[in-house]
Amino acid sequence: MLSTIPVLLVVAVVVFFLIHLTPGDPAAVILGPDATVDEINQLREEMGLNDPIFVQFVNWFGKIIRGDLGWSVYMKMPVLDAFIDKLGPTLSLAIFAQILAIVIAIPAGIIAANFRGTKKDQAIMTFTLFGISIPNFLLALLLVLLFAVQLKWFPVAGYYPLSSGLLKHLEYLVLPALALGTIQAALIARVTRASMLDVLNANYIKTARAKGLRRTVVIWKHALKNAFIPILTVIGQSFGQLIAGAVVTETVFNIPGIGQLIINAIMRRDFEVIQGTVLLIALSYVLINLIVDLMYGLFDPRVRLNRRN
Amino acid sequence: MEAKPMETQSINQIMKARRKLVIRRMLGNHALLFGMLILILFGVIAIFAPLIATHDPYAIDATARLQPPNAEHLFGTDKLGRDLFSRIVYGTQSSMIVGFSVALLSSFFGLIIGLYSAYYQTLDHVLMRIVDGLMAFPAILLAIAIMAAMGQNIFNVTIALSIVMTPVVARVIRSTALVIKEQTYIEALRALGAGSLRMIWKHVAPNTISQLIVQFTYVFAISIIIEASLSFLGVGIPAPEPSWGNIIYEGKEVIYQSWWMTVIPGAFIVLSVLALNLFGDGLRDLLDPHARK
Repeated sequence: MLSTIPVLLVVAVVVFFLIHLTPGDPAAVILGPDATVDEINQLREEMGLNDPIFVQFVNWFGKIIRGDLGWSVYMKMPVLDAFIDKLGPTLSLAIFAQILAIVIAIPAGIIAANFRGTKKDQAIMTFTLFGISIPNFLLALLLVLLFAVQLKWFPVAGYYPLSSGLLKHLEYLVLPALALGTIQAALIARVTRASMLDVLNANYIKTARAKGLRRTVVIWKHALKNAFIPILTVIGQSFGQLIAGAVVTETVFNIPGIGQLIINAIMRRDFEVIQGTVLLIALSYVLINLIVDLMYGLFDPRVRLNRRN
Repeated sequence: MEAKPMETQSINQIMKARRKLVIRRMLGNHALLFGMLILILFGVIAIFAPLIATHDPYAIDATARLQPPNAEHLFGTDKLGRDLFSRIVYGTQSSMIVGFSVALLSSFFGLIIGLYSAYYQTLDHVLMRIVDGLMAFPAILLAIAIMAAMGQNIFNVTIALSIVMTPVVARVIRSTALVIKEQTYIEALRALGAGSLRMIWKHVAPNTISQLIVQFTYVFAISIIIEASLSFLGVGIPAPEPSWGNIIYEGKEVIYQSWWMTVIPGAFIVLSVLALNLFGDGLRDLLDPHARK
């Protein structure tokens, strides 16, 4: 758990370097094209841009810790506020997609492992192979072509917040969540299958079967619980991918989330927004994985015992 | 087993038999063969793009805008009347160049980082924290941020993706090398007084090669997906230079009437990534006897 701290530090250093890679003198940008060299130099001094890079890093890091992630030049608001404003839709999409993925993938992975080598297994594995081979923006567009343009089952694009009713909220989220969830499902299904295969060969499973427990009970209660840690790990580790995927998927469906924030920031060259957003997402990734680590104890008593000692 | 000095003759025979076995196993693995075939096809398209393209990929023709696929324009035309077949062929070139270079660069650096952190513990702590830190960024987002800072061109796409992918390779190589390091023959070498350089490059590195090759194919595949996504978002390969991703991006505005601008380059992306994944899975099964139960 302590190893989280250096990781956070590295994340901060990377973002700091990105800021410094950014072309253009921030002081010159603020003052505009008419400023003289002296004026620019004076502002550089005031902004601390002439300090040694290490001092600049410490100052910047101090600001980050206090929640000051910079200022959006274009939106004229703090980056943190802009991020929080846009977080809702992205979170909604990511959670919906994740639930969809888990509900489909875990049973699919279990079935594939249980019927290993049969047609069922092959069909599921082929599906997951397609799932990991298609970029989500493409899947999103294809879903729009089929289900929105051709069949007209779902709206083409748009977003309604939860406050306008659960049904309407979900209606607009079905296609984006499907596009995002499919890839996630493919990943989880593959890990579930592999993990279940490991467990199903174990002696205690044979014992459980031998003492007359029904197959379904053995699979869902004994095997799944033991196979769950790798599944949980992949769910946690793919969180970053899920958010990144949500960012891309949003642009296809015009959902006003983090994706839109980033894309607009790129077009307006609003660098602090990009950097601040990427920093926040990386931080949340680290936190989620920390939570996943802590959750291992729920599924594996050995972890709990180890921790107590 | 007794360790007797073997005659060169019998070693050669064993090697020949092993090679035969590998080839037979390869031919038996349809997924691997299919993937390899498609990859060769894409490689040929990329290398001979100027010969294969039927039109100039940049030539604008206002009289032939948004035509569906037909005899003159095999894959139709875009909003500006440019021939999509030629643009997709050149796009194949871009994707293959980016994917291959990223796979090469990140395999190279990933191998070095992985090997050395497996070998030196202090270095391991430092390098692995950096790797963890870099891996905390979702690949696409880190690439977006790097591209936004460095500017858009095919070279920067390659650099950005290599930065994103190197940690992934380094991780895998490190864990493979850690296992190899504990083998008896390495211990024996150490007892014989082999230097660290010799140990790492002559004895540990060759044993990580099969893992490296498999990682190479996966990184290649992921790079194609990310490059396409970046270009689709408008931060990858800049227009008018053709790439699969930016053709689909241009097709998004006209998706109602011109499905071919989305579906055809999309099929190229899926096919190439699928082929790489099949090839990678096949290689893994072929090279790693433990994965195949």
